[in-house]
Amino acid sequence: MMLIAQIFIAFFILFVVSSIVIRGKKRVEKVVAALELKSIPASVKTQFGVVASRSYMKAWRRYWAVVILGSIAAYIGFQVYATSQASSADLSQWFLFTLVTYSIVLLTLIISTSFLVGTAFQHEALRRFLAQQKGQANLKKARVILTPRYGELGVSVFSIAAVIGSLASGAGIIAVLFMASQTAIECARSSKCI
Amino acid sequence: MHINPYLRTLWMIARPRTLLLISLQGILGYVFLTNKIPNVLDSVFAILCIIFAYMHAVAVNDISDEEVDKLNKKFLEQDNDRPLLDKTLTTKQLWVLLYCIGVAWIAVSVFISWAALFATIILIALNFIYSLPPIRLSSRGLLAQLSLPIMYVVYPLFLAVELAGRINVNYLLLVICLYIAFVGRLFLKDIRDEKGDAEAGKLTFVVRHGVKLTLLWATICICAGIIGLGCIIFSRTNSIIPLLAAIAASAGVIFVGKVCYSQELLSRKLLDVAIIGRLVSAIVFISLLTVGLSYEPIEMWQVVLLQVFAIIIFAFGVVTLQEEKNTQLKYDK
Repeated sequence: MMLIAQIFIAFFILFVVSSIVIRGKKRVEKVVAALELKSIPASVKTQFGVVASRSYMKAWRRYWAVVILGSIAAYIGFQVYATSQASSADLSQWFLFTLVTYSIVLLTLIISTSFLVGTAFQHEALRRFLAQQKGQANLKKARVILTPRYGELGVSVFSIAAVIGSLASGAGIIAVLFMASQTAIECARSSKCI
Repeated sequence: MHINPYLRTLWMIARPRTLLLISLQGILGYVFLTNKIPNVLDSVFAILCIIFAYMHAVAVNDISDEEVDKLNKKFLEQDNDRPLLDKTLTTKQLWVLLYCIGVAWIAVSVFISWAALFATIILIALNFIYSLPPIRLSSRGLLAQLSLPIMYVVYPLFLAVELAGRINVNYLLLVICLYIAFVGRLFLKDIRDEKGDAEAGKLTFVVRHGVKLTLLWATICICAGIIGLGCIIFSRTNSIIPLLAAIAASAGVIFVGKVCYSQELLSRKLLDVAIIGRLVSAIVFISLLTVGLSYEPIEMWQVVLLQVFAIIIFAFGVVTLQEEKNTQLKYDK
């Protein structure tokens, strides 16, 4: 049962994290598309693409460094703590406790870093672009697209907490509904997707 | 013949997010009747029927509205989900695909029941009547709002009855409330295309009666639908949370509706429309969660906590849109 729960959570992490990263990438693509609509010289557009992709690669490396180091540190920390407490406690209880706590901490870490780094690279790209192209074009739309939305982070963190909570309370099937909630929220983004 | 454009089109017209939203209503109906979440293997034919039904409706609509969609694209950037506009398929090819989907839909519904087959044939006819001349319900104002939920709400809930093999009065009330709430949502869907529809002569409700009346009717229907839903869930589960959430969401819908009316820019109007959509989705989701949890052997505090989590998740969904509005305002100054 525990193994199934772990697989469940792992898939969910994969889904949430990838959706956040894809969302970040899509925003940059939208900015490029928005720039296409303006009368901006081709060289300027190319320049933006180059700056964005360099910043993206840099951010991606930093993101994985934080995730890997954070995971190792959190794992060691919890193991040391659990072992120090286990002598007088029920080991299986501690296993469950460390698994759940470790998962929550790790997931929060992964999502937070991916969100922050994702938006950071977009901002960095925009900042450099604007610095190079002062007065070149009206970039309002690009700024709106790239501004971070903390509500998205809230949705992801609480969805994960709810999925883990459902599994921990034994209502595994309810976890599936919480996984679907993200999609239900996203769906009501455009009026066509009623 | 290249298969890839056809697969790409199938993905485009399936619009998986909307499909999931429609399916959630079917699941709510099934759980309401049987006290359990449907087994995927048992409900595979019903799931396929919902998928084919939606793809069929979208394909017919894309064919009939090709010119209107071109006009609407002039006024507003659209998502890349129209196979004819981005030339993934030609009109003739989409017709072929449409017939294939129709045949597959009929074949799958036979495996559910004869009643399901009968419903499928009626819905195929409705899809054509809705989108194509001479009747073309989509350009006949209120008739569009009243007919579309038959596909989006009544059909999935009908399939739930077929799977469950039972029905009761409370269930019929549930269907009515979801239907009314969905009618309310559908009033809002054409605000985005108002200019293009008017130019193309497509007389949707908003083109005929203006934004004010559209928002008014949307608000009335949504509030009635979701509060009614909250009451039904309360009578079924004794949980007051969905009803309280529905009352709060109704207040939110009224407030956002007023704000939406006062907005000048279409982009901001659409963000308000999206907020209202998320509030309705929230109540449907919380209702489903509450009915599902009422049959799980878990403690009351855990049930309440998960309900609160659901409310927080959707509240953050609304906050996201508000943040986008604030950003737009900031850069407009």
